Amino acid sequence: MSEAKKLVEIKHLKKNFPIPRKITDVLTHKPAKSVKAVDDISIDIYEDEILALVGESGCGKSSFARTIIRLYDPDSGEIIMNGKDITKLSRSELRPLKKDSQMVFQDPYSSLNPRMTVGDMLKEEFLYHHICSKEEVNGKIADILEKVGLSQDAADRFPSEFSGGQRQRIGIARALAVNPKFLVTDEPVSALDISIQAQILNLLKELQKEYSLTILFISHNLNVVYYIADRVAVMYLGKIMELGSTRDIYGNPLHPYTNILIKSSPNLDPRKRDEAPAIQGNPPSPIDVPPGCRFASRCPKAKDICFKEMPELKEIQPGHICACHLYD
Amino acid sequence: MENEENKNEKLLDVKDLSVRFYSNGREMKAVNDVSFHINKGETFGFVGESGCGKSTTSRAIIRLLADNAVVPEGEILYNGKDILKMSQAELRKVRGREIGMIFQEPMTALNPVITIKKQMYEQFIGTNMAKEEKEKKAVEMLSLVGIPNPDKRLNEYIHQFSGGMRQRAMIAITLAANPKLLIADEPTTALDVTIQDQIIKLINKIKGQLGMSVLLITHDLGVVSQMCDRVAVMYAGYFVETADTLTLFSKPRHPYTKGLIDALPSTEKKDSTLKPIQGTTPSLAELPPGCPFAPRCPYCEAICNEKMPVMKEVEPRHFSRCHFSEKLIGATGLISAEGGDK
Amino acid sequence: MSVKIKKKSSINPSLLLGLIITSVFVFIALFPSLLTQYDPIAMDSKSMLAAPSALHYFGTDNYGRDIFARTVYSTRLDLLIGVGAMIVPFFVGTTFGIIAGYYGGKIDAIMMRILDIFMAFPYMVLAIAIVAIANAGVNALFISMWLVGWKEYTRLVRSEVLVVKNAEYVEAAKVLGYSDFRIITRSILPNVLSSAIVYGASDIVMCMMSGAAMSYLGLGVQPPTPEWGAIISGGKAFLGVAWWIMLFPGIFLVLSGLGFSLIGDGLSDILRQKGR
Repeated sequence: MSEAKKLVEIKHLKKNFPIPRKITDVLTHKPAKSVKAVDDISIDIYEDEILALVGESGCGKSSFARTIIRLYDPDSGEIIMNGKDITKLSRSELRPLKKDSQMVFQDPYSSLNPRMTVGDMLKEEFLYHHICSKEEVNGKIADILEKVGLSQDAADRFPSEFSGGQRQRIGIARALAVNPKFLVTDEPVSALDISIQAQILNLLKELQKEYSLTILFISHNLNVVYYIADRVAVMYLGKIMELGSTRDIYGNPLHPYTNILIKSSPNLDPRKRDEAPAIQGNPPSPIDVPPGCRFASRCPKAKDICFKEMPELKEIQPGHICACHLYD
Repeated sequence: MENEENKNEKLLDVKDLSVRFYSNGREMKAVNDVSFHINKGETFGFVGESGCGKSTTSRAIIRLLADNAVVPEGEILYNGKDILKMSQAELRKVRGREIGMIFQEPMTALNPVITIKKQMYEQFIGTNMAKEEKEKKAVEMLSLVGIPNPDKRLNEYIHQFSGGMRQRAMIAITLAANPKLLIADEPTTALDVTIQDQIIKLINKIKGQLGMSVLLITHDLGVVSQMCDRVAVMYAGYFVETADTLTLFSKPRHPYTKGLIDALPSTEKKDSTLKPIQGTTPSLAELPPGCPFAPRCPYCEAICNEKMPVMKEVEPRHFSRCHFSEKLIGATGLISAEGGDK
Repeated sequence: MSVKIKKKSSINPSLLLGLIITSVFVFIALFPSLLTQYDPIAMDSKSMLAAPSALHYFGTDNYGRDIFARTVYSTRLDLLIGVGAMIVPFFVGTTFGIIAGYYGGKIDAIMMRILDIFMAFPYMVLAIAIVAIANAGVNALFISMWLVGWKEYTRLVRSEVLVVKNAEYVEAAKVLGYSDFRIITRSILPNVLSSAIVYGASDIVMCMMSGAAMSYLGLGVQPPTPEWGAIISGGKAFLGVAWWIMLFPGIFLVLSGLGFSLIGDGLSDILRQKGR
């Protein structure tokens, strides 16, 4: 992967969600608070790779995903695709580029318009983005349904007639219909049963090869990530704590949080049961973020400096980056 | 872990239980011919995918089913008495008191408009506890589940608790009634992995301290591994395999169990391919005459489509409902039986 | 345990009954002359306040006018009032609701404050004020009902939009680069319309009742034009001696309202099931 081309370069991306102030706060000049969902993240995503973003709820991974495809507007930072910084483009300049990046959503039960048939939904995409002519539409619909493993009569049916796994296939078809280069999948299998999950994961792997897709795979499930990802980034409270190849992250986790995440995943061997949990307590609130390292308050290896200074992301080994004072 | 199968050690003994639902003129065979027992102090798990009947079975035990449900046959013996034949008064003594239940979502399982304290005190109704005793016990329960500042938090509402704390609060309230059997329906499914880890360890610890039995319902094999002594795998309302956890994971003897194991992504699997189970679960209103798993089963033969297999003891205390369970002898399980990973 | 086995129903019974009743009234509205040969405004001094009989099915009023004819001929006007007074607020209110809900922010804030202002006026006070300005009559009736009727649709649709706009399929539409207009018409509107439609069915009933009430008060339809409320009003003074003047138009009013209500119920059941 040494000479791999970068598809997306993200530099110092920030996205805050301000908390609405009560009028009493305004009058007493209380400072406005915000949730720093994405707090200065810089990362490169290479062509044809599957990069996983893992973290627990509230870490900002969903917000990050939505900011990259510009569902949310970033507060600052750059997102460079094809040499263009898409944060600086107007909505009309952005429109033709929309089809380059698409998203597959988490909840199969709310990610499809209940009032449109599958065929109508796909037809609208094909025609709106001038993927093909009116005459060719039915052929293209048949094509893509087959690619995602659905029968041809799916086109005339409404989402409510399908199971969770089938709806996710439809969601994937919707994303792929416009031939994107970059696919962001937000917990695409979390709501599915084990046997269906495996079907969808294999489908994504196949399609990635066939369409030469670059995938940003968001998940909280470390086992799924282990199976599908080439590289893994670990997020905590809006910041990236560690980034490396799947083998490096799982085989040699550098950051204490990564270690704890991996340890928390239930061991499949009933003979290996610990009594104490990997970590106690909850993540702190993303509103009043403490200075210094985000993880310091819960870190088993925290030193004084960790509470004062935010550690920088440093390359500890080739391709393996970590933000932790342990490696200063 | 292995209790002697002494008759008076059995806390719950379910025999040939079936549950039917009727909706839109159709009959759904939600639970079929289910038999199992839970000994004192053990954790028994139901594992299966959505719609397999695990939740329905658990609710049938305390007769918490909807109006359109019927139990055409079966016995649910709790300490020797059949719950299905109990009067409302007897049932009320069992529900919540002898058998408690915790759910997946604390926000919907607990009352959002009354304090934790009040909900806890509801558990003390019928006991003749003095006010100070109640307060002491309430604080004790919150500490037991690891909630800091219990006396302050007693007076709070459930929405003032965060994620894992909510689960703990729900567990504390349920346990305040001192149940002998705790039914836990997907208690960690909605939680982050670090919180799930905490709750698993918490339930394991409390179970030992209080001498409780646990019936765990889940779709997560990892949670099963970390919590259960014995497991039943469910499919289309049937038990298809039961065994102790180690045996089930290392020597599965039913194609569905094997299918689940092969489809499970895991950092502990050296093999980097995932074999999904083809097809989808059958509708409970249209179960085929033979084995319900036959359409998806790689070992399926003619007899599988015609005749429903019965539960057979394939080795001591290991049961499988399959005509060809011997075909799975030697199949690789999730873990190797000799200790250490596959 | 008790068991309820529900048969699979092919058509919703409320909807069916509602449609039957309403069709009957629509027929009456369209072809009143088929049902009676009397002229609704023709007076007959020879049979005033006559009781119901084979000659006058519903009796006559104090001017000798046949009540059956008057009631039957009112149907068209009353149905028109019901539907006409509802349809404009339906479209206008829904549009406002969608815009306020979808765009949020300042637009929403301003629209909601306008809504609050209109909420502050009791319906009848506003109606009377408008009638005073515009002169009593059917036009005044429509104008006042249009001015007060849109609020409910706006509120209803806006809250539905607030829910729907955060759904992932709307996010997906945005990610696909669709224009706001396309997102609103194809993703948002079809999913919020059902509650507006169901409300609309009951709104027809309310508009008919309001129209009748206004005419009863002398603010709406003016004599001698027959309209159920007006007829009922006219019969007030004769309640003791000629109860039939108030009764029969009243029954028609209630039944036609029932018809629309049942349609609303039926639609609500069907649309709710279709939801997911």
